[in-house]
Amino acid sequence: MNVERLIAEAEIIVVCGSGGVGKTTASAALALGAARRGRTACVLTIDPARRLANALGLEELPDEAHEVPLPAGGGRLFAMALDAKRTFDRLVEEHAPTAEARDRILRNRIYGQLSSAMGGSQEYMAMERLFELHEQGIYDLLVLDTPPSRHALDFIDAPNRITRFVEGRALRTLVEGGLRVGGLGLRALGQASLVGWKALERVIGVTFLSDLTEFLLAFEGMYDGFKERATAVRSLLGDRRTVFLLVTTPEREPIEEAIFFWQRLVEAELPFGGVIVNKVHADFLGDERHRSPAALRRAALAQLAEAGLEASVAGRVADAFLAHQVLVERDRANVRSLARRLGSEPLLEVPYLDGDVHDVPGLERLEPHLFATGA
Amino acid sequence: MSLLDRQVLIVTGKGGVGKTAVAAAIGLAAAWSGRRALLVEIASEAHVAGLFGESGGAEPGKEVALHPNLTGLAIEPQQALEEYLTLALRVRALAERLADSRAFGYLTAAAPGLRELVTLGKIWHLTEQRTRDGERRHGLIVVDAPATGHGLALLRTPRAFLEIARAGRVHEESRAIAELVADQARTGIVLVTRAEEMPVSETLDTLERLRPLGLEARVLVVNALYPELVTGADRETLRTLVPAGETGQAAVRAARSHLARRDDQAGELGRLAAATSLPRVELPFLFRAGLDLDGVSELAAVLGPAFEELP
Ligand SMILES: Nc1ncnc2c1ncn2[C@@H]1O[C@H](COP(=O)(O)OP(=O)(O)OP(=O)(O)O)[C@@H](O)[C@H]1O
Ligand SMILES: Nc1ncnc2c1ncn2[C@@H]1O[C@H](COP(=O)(O)OP(=O)(O)OP(=O)(O)O)[C@@H](O)[C@H]1O
Ligand SMILES: [Mg+2]
Ligand SMILES: [Mg+2]
Repeated sequence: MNVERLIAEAEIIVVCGSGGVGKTTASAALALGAARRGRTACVLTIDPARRLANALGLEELPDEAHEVPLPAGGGRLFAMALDAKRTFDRLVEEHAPTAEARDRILRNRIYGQLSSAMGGSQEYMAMERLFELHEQGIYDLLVLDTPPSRHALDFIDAPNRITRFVEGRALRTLVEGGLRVGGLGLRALGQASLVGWKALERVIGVTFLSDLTEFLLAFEGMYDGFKERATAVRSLLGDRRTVFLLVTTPEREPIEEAIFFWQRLVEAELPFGGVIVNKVHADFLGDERHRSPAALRRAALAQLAEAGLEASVAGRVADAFLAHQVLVERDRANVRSLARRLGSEPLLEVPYLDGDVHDVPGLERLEPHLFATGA
Repeated sequence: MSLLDRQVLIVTGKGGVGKTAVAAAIGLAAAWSGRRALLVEIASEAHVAGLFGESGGAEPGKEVALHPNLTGLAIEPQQALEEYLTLALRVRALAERLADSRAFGYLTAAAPGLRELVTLGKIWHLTEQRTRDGERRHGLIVVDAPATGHGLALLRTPRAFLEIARAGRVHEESRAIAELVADQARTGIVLVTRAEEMPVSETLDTLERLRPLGLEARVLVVNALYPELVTGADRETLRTLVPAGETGQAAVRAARSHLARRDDQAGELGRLAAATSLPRVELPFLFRAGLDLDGVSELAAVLGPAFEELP
């Protein structure tokens, strides 16, 4: 994978992967790398961990870009913590036909639930914000960090899901029929819907239904704006300016997730840039790597003794060494099989660094590995 | 009463810290102790069966045997919803018609939190099931919940629905579900973490975010701690040692890296201990090619006795 070129050509990088593999870390390091190469980059993250947030100056204000101080000479680095609810509110404000409609929506209980943490709305709003920022054209490069993978799939579906919900015409007719027009509407809906309606009412209660009615009525006049917007977001994500990168560790489960996600991207015709295999255990062995564990242990013990190490210490060192080699071998086997399954798709290995990565110096240690070419 | 005598243990934590591994180990430990245990996971993320050597993963909604005394169940929200409707409406044909209707499709595709609610509802229903002799059908139900962000959304849902649906059956049941989740005698929340900066920070954050929900974790499981293969006393020696051969050099570098990792972990454990007095159970890092029944057993052997001791 040639990250150097990617950074130079892409305007949007979306970073996905399963839980804890290093998405946030990689996103920040990519943006940092771009900034150091002269670009104006902004990393957008959801739920940043505290110390990284602190390092990037994200702690005080959500939803606003902060400049991260860098040594002079390069470009500029910005970071932003996304706030789904604010983005949603802004969208409503923008598209609501009247001030009254706007207030009705913002006050509605269902809207309150929809716009905060629930059911894919966070994912959708991240995309929405990304689009907004891209439109503004302040940054050369936007790097979007996403929540763990299966939910990142909601990114793909979310625009459809949300617009489907708000434009659910069948539902709207049903609801309007039920509450507005009274019996007449119900009769017009036919017997099947009447039964369905009554049943639904028994299960979810009248308040829920009336909130829903209100919500859907209030959204009237906004459907077109929303739909247009969702289509624009989708086409930006699908075109050449965007690239999706997958992050995984060299472990079995996250790799399966990455493969699954890659296939979904291909199906959805979204631009796939490759897989970053993060936290690969460094192999300190050269030519000797093919020897058996027992042989390695013997050789290590002999050489450690030769260097003057006491036998008990040498024994402990050899234990740590062999434990490490188990992980090295595991990583190698898993990366090889991943590479085979990916065929010609790009893959980049990034080593597991000693010491956590949670500040700018940490990111600087990671950066050269991300920007290494060849692999 | 020990932690393993709860009806439901909900396992959550930051992504990738080992929630699935820990949930499986809890289930296995309970099964070893002679309790009947059921491991529940969300179908789209189903992994558990694989850990017990069942290939292909469980078919959603179908309980499968994983081990003596231990079964697994993958919940698929859409399926659970249809099941629920059949129950609620008492007429299958009606439920099917409703579930098939376009309007209902719209509602469930995007209705906020509905999927979370039926998932928890299904779990609540499992705790209510009785055998013909009136015994509870399930012993311990271990839930491999989603990672913290979505896990918290899951826990918040029943209360949210109390707000949205002010009457009707959903209201009543949301109340029952919310009570089950908050009842420390029946339910325990198990927070899994690793001794790394970001997972520890997220854990502390989660503890704070549980409080306003009226919820509290019972125990912190710190997973994947490096064993003390080389000791702090070896540090100085290792710092300057340069053996002549490649293997010896590689061994020294591996040992140094092991020490560095242990130092990091010790620091993060300290941060955790200083910030919360919750009981902690520590699990070892397993140096294995992948997690399988042997690995889960190793974790269960540590976790079982510790959970048995916890109130
Ligand atoms: N190459 C690396 N070497 C060492 N540590 C790393 C590396 N990459 C990431 N880490 C560490 O791994 C942990 C998890 O990383 P991070 O939070 O970026 O993952 P994530 O995929 O964003 O997680 P989540 O799914 O919870 O959002 C952090 O503590 C981070 O410091
Ligand atoms: N104690 C341990 N020692 C070594 N590896 C472990 C340990 N526990 C878990 N792992 C490995 O860590 C990875 C993540 O574990 P697991 O799938 O249980 O995490 P999770 O929290 O359920 O992840 P997700 O958020 O993706 O559901 C797996 O590859 C697993 O094999
Ligand atoms: Mg993250
Ligand atoms: Mg899991």
